[in-house]
Amino acid sequence: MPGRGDMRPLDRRAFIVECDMVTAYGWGVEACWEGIRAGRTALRPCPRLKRTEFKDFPMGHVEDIEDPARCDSHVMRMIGGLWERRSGAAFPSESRLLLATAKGEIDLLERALRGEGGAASECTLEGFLARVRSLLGLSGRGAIVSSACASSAAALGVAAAMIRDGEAECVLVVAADAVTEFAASGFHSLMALDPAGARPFDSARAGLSAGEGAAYAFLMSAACARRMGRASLGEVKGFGLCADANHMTGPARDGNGLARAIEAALLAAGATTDDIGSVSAHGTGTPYNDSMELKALSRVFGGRKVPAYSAKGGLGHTMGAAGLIEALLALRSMDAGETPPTVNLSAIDPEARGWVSMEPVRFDPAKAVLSTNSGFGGVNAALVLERPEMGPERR
Amino acid sequence: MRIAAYGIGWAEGDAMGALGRGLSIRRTPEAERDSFQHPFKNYSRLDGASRDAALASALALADAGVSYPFDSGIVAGMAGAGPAASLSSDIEYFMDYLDNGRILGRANLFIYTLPTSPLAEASIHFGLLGPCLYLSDAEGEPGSALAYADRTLRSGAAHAMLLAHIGRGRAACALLAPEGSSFSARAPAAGIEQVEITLSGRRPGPWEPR
Repeated sequence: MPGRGDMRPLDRRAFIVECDMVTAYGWGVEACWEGIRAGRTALRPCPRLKRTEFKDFPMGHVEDIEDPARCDSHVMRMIGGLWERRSGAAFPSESRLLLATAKGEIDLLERALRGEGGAASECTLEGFLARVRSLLGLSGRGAIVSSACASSAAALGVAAAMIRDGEAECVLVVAADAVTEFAASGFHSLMALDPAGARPFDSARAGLSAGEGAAYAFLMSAACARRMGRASLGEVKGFGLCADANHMTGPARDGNGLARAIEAALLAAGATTDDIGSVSAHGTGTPYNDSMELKALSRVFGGRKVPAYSAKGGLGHTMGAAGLIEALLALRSMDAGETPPTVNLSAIDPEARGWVSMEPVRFDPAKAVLSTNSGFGGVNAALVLERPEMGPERR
Repeated sequence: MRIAAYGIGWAEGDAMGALGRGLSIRRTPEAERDSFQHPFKNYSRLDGASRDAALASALALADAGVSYPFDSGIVAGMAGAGPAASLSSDIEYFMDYLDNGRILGRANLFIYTLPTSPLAEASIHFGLLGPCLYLSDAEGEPGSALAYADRTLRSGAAHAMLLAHIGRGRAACALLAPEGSSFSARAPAAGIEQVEITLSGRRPGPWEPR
């Protein structure tokens, strides 16, 4: 941030140089951005759940990945689709891979247990990691990153830290989770699904909508990006990960865990709340999460409110993929200099007034964005993201 | 700054122990209960992986001579790795759902179907307010989790980290902290170079039945 001291060596800044995603809005960051910017929801009943109790519940599913003739998983089809869309320079084969997910290829386990083929014992995250590494042609070390619904936010933070500390020059973060009977039935068992579709920060909100998606972000050190002639799409400037130590499914009501994660991210970024222009909130649409999040934001920002939004009324809760998908949307919002509306919002909860809006809101594009995610077990993650031209050269 | 393991605890099959103290005893309900400094709410309802991880963590803390909950201002987190993650719990949950006609799943089974579930249960009991993260290499090895814990401690984001490796019917946990910190009054049980080998499947010490 201009005028602020930064002890991090310039060459070790973590830049996102390439990214892509697929969500219920379709393929590409732009498809998702345009849908959310227009205030249009992509939630609708998911045909593959037609034999379940929640078949009519709106969900954020990706069309055209269904193919009964194929035996691979939904997440592999999404990741494979993203891979097919790529053009340009190949990833350096020695790039490190962080594969972020909450449930991976759980639909393979569903099929095995329903007697439709496959062996349950082979439905492991290690198998998923091996298949993704093989698809992407990477020989570098890979790891699964999982922190419930903060998985891919955590993966971005870990990737940035690896680059910052000189452990790697290039890290590919891939994130994916799918709408499955397993996940939807689980949320249903917790009475966490809203039959009317998620309405984040709405006074009548009643739960979340399951969603699916896949995304990748390729991070390079600034030195490596310069050497390889790669332009930066944005910098992962700071990251925080903190636990509530409260309850397996319910967040700490006072938001203290998320507040500490945000403060840790700001500290790591060398920033204060004055440097934040907007917030991409987790905003699931459950009564407790959204309230907790607003309390955390109020605690950290004091009396100041900045434009905030949740994307989950549009694309659903993409679980482990949410952090990366929403961070990439946040970078897009910086390009536009405006936050998108919070989709499906019709009556703003009093706690949320001054934060979220039913319309796009302009913000200073020179400022950074804060992206937050929380998850089961009381995990909380926060990212501070900057546009590439921000941050003065420092020697 | 050097990072060391101040305590290492383990639970495997019908045995449990701690490396620093050379403890190796039969795992009984009484021995499990006595390993925790405070009663563990709903311990009997935890899934197997969560019980193993919690027990190994308790043994690691005891091995280090560390009491919990931690003093105000002390931030401790937890990282974990292991083969097959939550597969056993996944199967248990979904089979129960299918057996009950695909009408309603059981929430008390579903909450254990995340790789972080055992780490989260431990975090709640021990009052860990730092990071909670599953970071597992190919074959479930803990190398990346160890590097993450090391990095987290060096950055000051946490004062101590529990690092757990959770397998099928076994768990091992190391309490990591910077050498010379006031976190533990005892000498380290192991250098960080030994932690990955110790956690990832080689039994830390001989077990003899009592």
